[in-house]
Amino acid sequence: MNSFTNRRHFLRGTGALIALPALASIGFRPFASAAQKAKATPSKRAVFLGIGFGVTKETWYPDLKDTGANYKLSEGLTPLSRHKQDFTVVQGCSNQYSNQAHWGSTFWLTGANRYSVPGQNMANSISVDQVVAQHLGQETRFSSMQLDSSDGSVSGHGPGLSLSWDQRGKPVAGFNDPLQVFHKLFSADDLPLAQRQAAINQKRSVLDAVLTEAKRVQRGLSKTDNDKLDEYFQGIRDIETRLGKDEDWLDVSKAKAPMEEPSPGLKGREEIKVMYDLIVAALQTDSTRVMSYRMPGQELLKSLAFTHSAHNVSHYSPGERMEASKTRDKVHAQLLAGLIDKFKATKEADGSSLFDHTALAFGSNISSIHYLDNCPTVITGGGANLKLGQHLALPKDTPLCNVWLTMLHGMGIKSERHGDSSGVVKELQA
Amino acid sequence: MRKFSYLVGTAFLWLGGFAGAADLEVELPARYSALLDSYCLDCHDADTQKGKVNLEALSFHITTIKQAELWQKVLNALNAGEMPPEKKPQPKNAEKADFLDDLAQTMVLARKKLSDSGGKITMRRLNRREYYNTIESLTGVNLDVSSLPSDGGTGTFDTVGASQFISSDQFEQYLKLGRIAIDEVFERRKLPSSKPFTFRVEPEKTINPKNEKFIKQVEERQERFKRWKKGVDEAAKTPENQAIIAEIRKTDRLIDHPNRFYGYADRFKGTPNPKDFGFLDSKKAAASDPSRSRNLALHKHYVSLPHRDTGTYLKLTHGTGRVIVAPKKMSVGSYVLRVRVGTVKGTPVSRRFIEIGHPQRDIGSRDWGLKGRAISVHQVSGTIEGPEIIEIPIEVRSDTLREFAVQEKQPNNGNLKVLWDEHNKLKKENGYGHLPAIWVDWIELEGPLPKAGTKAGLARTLTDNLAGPKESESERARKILSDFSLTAFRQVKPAPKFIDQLLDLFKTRRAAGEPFEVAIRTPLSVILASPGFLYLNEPSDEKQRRTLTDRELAVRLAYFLWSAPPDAELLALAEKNALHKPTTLRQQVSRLLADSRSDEFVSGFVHQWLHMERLDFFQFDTKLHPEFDDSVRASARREVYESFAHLLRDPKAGRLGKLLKSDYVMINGLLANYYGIEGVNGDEFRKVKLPAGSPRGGLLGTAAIHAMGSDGVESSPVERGAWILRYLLNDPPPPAPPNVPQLSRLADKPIATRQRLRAHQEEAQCASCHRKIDPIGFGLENFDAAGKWRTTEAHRTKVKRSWRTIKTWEIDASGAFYKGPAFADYFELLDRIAEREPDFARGFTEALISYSLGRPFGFTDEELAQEILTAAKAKQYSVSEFIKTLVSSEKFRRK
Repeated sequence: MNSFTNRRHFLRGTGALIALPALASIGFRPFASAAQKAKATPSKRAVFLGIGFGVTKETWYPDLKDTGANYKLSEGLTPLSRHKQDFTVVQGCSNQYSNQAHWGSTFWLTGANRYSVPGQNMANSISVDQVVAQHLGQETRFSSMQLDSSDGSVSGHGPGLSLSWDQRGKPVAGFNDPLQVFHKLFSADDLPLAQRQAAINQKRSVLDAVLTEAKRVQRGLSKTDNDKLDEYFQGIRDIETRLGKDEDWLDVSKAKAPMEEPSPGLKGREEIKVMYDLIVAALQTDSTRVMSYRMPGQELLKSLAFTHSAHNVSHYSPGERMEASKTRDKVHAQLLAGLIDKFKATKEADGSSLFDHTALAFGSNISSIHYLDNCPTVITGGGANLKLGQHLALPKDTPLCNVWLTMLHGMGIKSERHGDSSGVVKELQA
Repeated sequence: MRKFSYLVGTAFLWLGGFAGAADLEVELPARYSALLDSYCLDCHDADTQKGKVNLEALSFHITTIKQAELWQKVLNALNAGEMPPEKKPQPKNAEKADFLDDLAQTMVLARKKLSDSGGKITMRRLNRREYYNTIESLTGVNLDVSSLPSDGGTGTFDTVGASQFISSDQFEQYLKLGRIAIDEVFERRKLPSSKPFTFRVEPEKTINPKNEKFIKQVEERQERFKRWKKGVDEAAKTPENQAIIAEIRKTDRLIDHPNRFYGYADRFKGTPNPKDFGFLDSKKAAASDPSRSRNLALHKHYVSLPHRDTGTYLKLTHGTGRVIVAPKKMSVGSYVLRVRVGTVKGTPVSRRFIEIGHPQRDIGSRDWGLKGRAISVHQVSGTIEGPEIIEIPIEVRSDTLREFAVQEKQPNNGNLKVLWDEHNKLKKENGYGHLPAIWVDWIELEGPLPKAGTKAGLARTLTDNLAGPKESESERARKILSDFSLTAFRQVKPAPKFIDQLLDLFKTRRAAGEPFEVAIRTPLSVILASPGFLYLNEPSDEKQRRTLTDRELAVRLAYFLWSAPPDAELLALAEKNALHKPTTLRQQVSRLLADSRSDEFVSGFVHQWLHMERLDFFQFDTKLHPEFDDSVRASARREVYESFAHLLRDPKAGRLGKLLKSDYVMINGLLANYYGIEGVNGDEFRKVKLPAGSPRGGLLGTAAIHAMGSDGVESSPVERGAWILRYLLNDPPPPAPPNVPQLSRLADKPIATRQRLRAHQEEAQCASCHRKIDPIGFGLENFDAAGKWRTTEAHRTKVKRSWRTIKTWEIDASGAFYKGPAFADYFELLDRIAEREPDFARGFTEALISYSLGRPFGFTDEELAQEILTAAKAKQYSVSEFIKTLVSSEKFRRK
């Protein structure tokens, strides 16, 4: 971070500030440019897509006995057939501590034990996307970006504000309106630089003031209450970090939107589609390198003209509800196939594609109905150097966190462990 | 009777002894060691340890999280049907079911013990409701707080500090919302200069002329069509055109139908040009065929009605159904909307409701409907000859749309297809469609009205200090900031440095060129994001518990019963150190409960206690449950609140057990109509005595509770049975376990629900819970998904979006509690449940303790629970007695 600041000061000093927009137009990557030149390869990205309630057991999973590269694609995954060489279906994984049959996202990327903290009835730990953000988030305007949907509570996601949980196991908020995401990413701030700097300074003064008060309140508090207040302190520190970043990016204009502004009020299938477009746009412009998306479930079914609730459909049995469940699976596969198309079609500066540098996981903590074993997992993208194009059947109850750890390692993040991981999945490594 | 044999400690407590959490034992009954021995230890003993699982060393006496985890694994493996493996000997179903039952219950207790806070109350912040109320109390502003997280949701109340969190995003939301509130305070201060006005809409002047114009236009268009049609008919006779028609007929067999025929006219030779007749093309011309008009007859009929010179009739469909009220300029503030309205003689009760909201403008071509949900729904009891004036209070905030509309309440949540189908059916009978029902004389909007409360708090400090000489500017700003901090922090002085820093912010804004009254807003909104405001902090030492000061007690009490800060009277008592005296406390509880602010306690507590969020989970099927729309749903929810509030505020007769069974209901006109109870008109909820034999009365007689036990289509005996065990009988089944095989063998077969659910008894994993749950649910089968009484149930399938009934049965609601008494029908079931008032009281007490103290009910609270129950029982379980005893207890005043 320091080196960037210095560089900017240097640029300012020599009157080369004008050169920045020009730099920015090359691949939209102003600050990373120095680092980029050294690396000469485009940076890695990670995307996590959570579906909440699971899939249709009978038709989504490929035959367990038919593994390897030449497996037959299942009915539910058929729409992905054109990409068959470029994704891997992993079976057999689960989060051993998950007991909540309706929580498809809360522990999906964390593998935490809800009861791990004595005297507390809900605990969580950092999600894998946030681990990635700690490593890849430094150089972009947004360290990570969380997308959400408005129907989280009825779509089998469980507690949380998005798929993401921070270092301390606290939920990270997400945007549930595509329009809002678009503006956050691409809308220019028209205020003059000095005013924006003044605004940042004012925010700092505000933080200083509430910190004074927080310290007063802190006096005389018990240990437990102090821990509680620490969340407040941490919130303030997070904003300070963000302000520091805002300051670094103050004189860099936001990337030009590579897409049209989304229409307001999109729901269900259209909503997912446009969010996928925004994911591509955000990664393409290097506005951020880490994204998670907690997808709509109830609204998706509604947009496909099914009237049953998402929960009800998750308890499908032969008949209308099972048809709904199967259709939803296929639509998800279609949308994912479309996203992969876009990733492949988006070219990086060196001629490779965005697909080559992105690691993407799609799935849920719930497999289907009330089952939490064999979490549905699709891995795609070349960003984590994983072996794609196969159907991988791991031993039953392999920690799902082993897959996450393998992804981390593949992205060059050498964590010792993640969640309850017991090691990497060798078969997944290319 | 509940079994406590496996829980030595609790069984002891129930006999009247007291023990702290530390002394409690969570132990699985020793008799199961034989079962483990026979079916598990072959592989999972200390020697073999298959899958690294050693059950031999696992204690039946659970004291650590690690032990609990291993037992949880055992439970999961059994539930999933994984263990014992298929080839190994299996325990008998009944044996396995009992074991699963006891193990699951033991796990619940173990979790409870291991997460017991030991009486610790974690500092909590204002939850979303409290934040809203506190801002309102401080500034008089009603904020839209939907951007804040709702709190609660992990199985605890939203008052439980340990389950709350705060993030940087949320902090920024507090800053933003605080600023909105402060801005609005300043805007409201201008109100004396924004003159109150009355804006009246006379629909005979706005709507009726449009109707007449519409009729004229349609008739004129039809006239032109007729002239054009004549020419087409003439031309069509030529052999050449007949050949063309024959050709089209190959692709459109319906061409000979007049509705289709003229649309093809531009393909014929020698037909008159539609443009000469004012139509864009043949299709447009054909659309003006009188036989295709859906609503001309309707409009003409309405125009022919009497009293149109002084008012208008609302149309349910096709045409102007709403009267729009849009004054040119409206400042923020409180307004009243008055509607002078009456119904046509003979109108059925179901069509005597109006609703108000903001008109929808998203679909320009549609001149009807509201944007989103209605703001409120009102029953019309006046007639055209004797109209009534309905008064509707309206709050206008800075983000409120300044445009309102009144329309007839739309059945089916505005599902147009259903409405049009009905219209067409009626049209066949009477020639025009929906009968006129509601007549509106005028609508009037008055305001802004002077609002009580805005004179207090911030407003007064501002009045005193905003204006003044330039030299005293800094001092005046300091005064405003200090005063407001003190009020916002509930009479705790902020750090002096904090005020200095706020003042610096003010000065910076001033230096940037903002006027005083703008520059002061930034620091004022910072106060509303400070920890002293956001947290209900009570300094303490964990080792040495202390008694709360009277000020702290006032805060705790006010947030318990009002979800809002203490008022002047409470604070004055606290200052005199007189609040903690038991008689004073009891008096204050009575006063607080009598105050309308305790409505916040009623809705906040009851909603969470009875898990009423389920009421909003499902969209009800508009074909099967046409009457259960949003307004009925909202009234149904209110009914539950009102039933509780009625008991809460009646210290003499407010017996808790009346929630189990009563000979009255608390309803308004809308619900009376829904329940088929006659003679109840108007919007206000009141006590209505029930006729003998009515299935209503008590929570189980409400539409809300039954709707919660459904999925919007069918009733769910499982949800209902589990709900009763949890909330009425205080015998909660363990949470639904994952990985239990779903039995779909009988699903979607045309058999009665109770036959279908019989499958639950076939597998031990299901039977262990469902043998208790399902029979109770079957006893409620006389209530359909929307809580209407029924005597038959039907199996239906959906064919092309409509339901087809395959088979119907008489409902058999008889059954028996698991190892308990039998019942022949719903009424007997209700009597058995009503006898369990002590169990109900116990569950209620636990919920009250958890809600008021802000921590999950733990074993440490046993003593308090007993104290409350004993006192309440002596007063015939009077609801307010529970609260008074709790508030006067030692624990309530402890930090």
